[in-house]
Amino acid sequence: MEMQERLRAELETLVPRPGMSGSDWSDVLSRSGRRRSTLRRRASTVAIVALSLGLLAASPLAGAIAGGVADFSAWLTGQPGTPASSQEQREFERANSRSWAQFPNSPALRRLITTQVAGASFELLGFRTGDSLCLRLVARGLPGAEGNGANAPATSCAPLRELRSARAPALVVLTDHPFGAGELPADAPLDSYAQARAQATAGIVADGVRRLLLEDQRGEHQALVASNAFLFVAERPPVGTRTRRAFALGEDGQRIDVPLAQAPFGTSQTPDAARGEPSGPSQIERKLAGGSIGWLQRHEPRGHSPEELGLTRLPIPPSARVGPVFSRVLAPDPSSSMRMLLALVDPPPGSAGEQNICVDVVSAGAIAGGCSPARSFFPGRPFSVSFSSALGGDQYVTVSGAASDDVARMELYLATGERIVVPLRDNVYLLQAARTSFPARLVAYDEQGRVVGLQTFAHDPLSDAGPRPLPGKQRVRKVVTGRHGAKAVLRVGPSSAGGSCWRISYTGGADASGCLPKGYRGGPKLEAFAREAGGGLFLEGQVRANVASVGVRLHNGRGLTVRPIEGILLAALPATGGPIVVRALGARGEIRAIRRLRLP
Amino acid sequence: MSSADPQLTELEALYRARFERFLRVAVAIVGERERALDAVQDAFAGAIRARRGFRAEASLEAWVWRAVVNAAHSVRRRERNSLPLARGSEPASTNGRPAGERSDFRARIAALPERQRLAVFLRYYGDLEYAEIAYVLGIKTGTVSATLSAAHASLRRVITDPEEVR
Repeated sequence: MEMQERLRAELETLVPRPGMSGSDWSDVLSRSGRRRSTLRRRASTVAIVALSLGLLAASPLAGAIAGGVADFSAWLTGQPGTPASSQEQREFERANSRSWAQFPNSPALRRLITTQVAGASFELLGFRTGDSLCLRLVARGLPGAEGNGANAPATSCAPLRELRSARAPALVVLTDHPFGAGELPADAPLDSYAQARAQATAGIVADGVRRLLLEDQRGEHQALVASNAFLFVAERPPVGTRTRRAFALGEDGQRIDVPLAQAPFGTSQTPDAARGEPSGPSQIERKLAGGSIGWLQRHEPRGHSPEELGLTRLPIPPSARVGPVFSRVLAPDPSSSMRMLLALVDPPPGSAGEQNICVDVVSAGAIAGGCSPARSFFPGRPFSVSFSSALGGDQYVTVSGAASDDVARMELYLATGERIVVPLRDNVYLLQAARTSFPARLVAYDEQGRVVGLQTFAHDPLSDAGPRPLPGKQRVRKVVTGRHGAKAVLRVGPSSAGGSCWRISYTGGADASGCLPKGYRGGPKLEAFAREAGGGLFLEGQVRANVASVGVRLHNGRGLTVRPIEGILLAALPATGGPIVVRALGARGEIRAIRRLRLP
Repeated sequence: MSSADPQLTELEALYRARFERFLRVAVAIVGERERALDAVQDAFAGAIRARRGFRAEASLEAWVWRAVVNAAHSVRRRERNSLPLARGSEPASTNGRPAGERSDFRARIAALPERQRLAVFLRYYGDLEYAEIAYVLGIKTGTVSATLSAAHASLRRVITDPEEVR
């Protein structure tokens, strides 16, 4: 019996419980050739929810979540961790006092987790301020990163309401934040990115969470968990490494998915948007034409002047043809450290230019926004909207803008079913929303409660809004094995835009991906290059639709033929070193393009 | 759920109740989560198409288990030389504990004869009874007992004496 228990324990580690992620009965039906009705889909959704609750209730931790009572009391009402050192507190207060957007009431820092990675010390601190909880990650002693800003502390905040809604027993607050810029070789291509010396992901956990796992392209990583927080610092991760999923584990080992939005990287990453539809009204009840902000036009001195906050240079683009400027810094949410800058910019006297309105979000260390002509500032709807990741650590998007005098209140409806009252004051609004809770709908009401404006956001606004793979629809189309057992897997599936998306995943974590429009016949005649991955060498490339096959002639005289799949080339190259010749061939064997490559 | 097609209803209920176990066994066989998920989805899709041919010689669950194991094997066959265990099964690194070395236990599992390995997966990851394992593997119930005993004997050496296989 003891043997069986030990065996069970070993097996538990060997193939951990994979969780319910990927469970999709509609996909099964689709593969079986059946279609389902809307009614059935709704019934299944109810069943999924009911079953999820049933399964979750199997463990004490998950049972607490199912009951909506994940215990975040340490963060909501208590004092997690230990007091930060007086030096840390002083450094924070000094930085806060210099900031354009100060955290109100000088919050007291708590020390949560300390670890050593990449020869440096990382200290995770936390504090509550207003309706936000914030994490501050301080790196000390990271080689080669002193004085260039790459070692600056990272501060990221989340709304406290996220804890009260308790969708999971953990909350990711900071994602893949880089510390210490690496160095690029002198001959690196222009579009190369430097490797960070360290990259950190952090968040908080409820009582009862014993382990937290983070998954990126390289596999799973176990984070440090202590003081109701977690921290994982990756040492020199490959460029583009992104945390994709997170799981919390209780004492019984039950895995629970933790919502996580992938941090944007370049243009190739397409983080998944949350599924579902936002609730809330979908019809305008009172149509408006244009709109204005009376107090701004009258130059009423609301809020503070920029100078009072040390804002001496306003972010007004030259294209706004600056003349006299009337600007005010406003606090639509007094409990937030973020502020809004609203400016009325007149054209230079005597010029034919027009008046502009500028709206900016002011956060610690950054101002971001833009200007538009005042006469068309509220085109079609009585509010403007912009998104930024200010203070959100890539997990939360700051939704902000200005509203006309016709708007009395605003609400944000999320796909999670949440309905958030938008802080609106002096015609500006600002709030943070979890990226994992999109799609969302922003609704404006007038004094009589009629809907006067709405806008639906179909995607997480920080993710690429372009074509993306439909979740769960990509299929393995080709697997090749190269030298030293290294593998490359080509998956292809439909894209959200009606075309197809492909991804090649290599042993060692490297990958490449892209999407093509439906019926696309353009693109390069032949694009090919050699990629080293996992000790193997692969040919990767793309051809036009009229290329039937690709012939590869190796320097040792041997050859191989590669059949493109959806225009994508993938082959394992048996040899290294020396030149190779790649020929794109048409259906009758005619040569359409030739490339010569030199293998590493 | 539809009452017009009780087998479809039962398959859906089975999928929702046992999904994680099916996927875990498939991951153990295939060695990679995404393709294992493909195998599970395809196996259930195949079971839906073939449900009229189900003869109740075993439980519906055992019948589906056989489909999942077969689908996982098909995936694995398409990718030769794959180590029949999840590549990501151990944390690639940890901040919480010293990074683990490649497991001797993993090597020993991979070295088991296929029937023994499958019996272990079905017993410990699938939580199947001996009779169900027998049906899935196409062997007698008594043979399941002998197969698991042999697997235990092989694995006992590495569990009790990890140096032995180095």
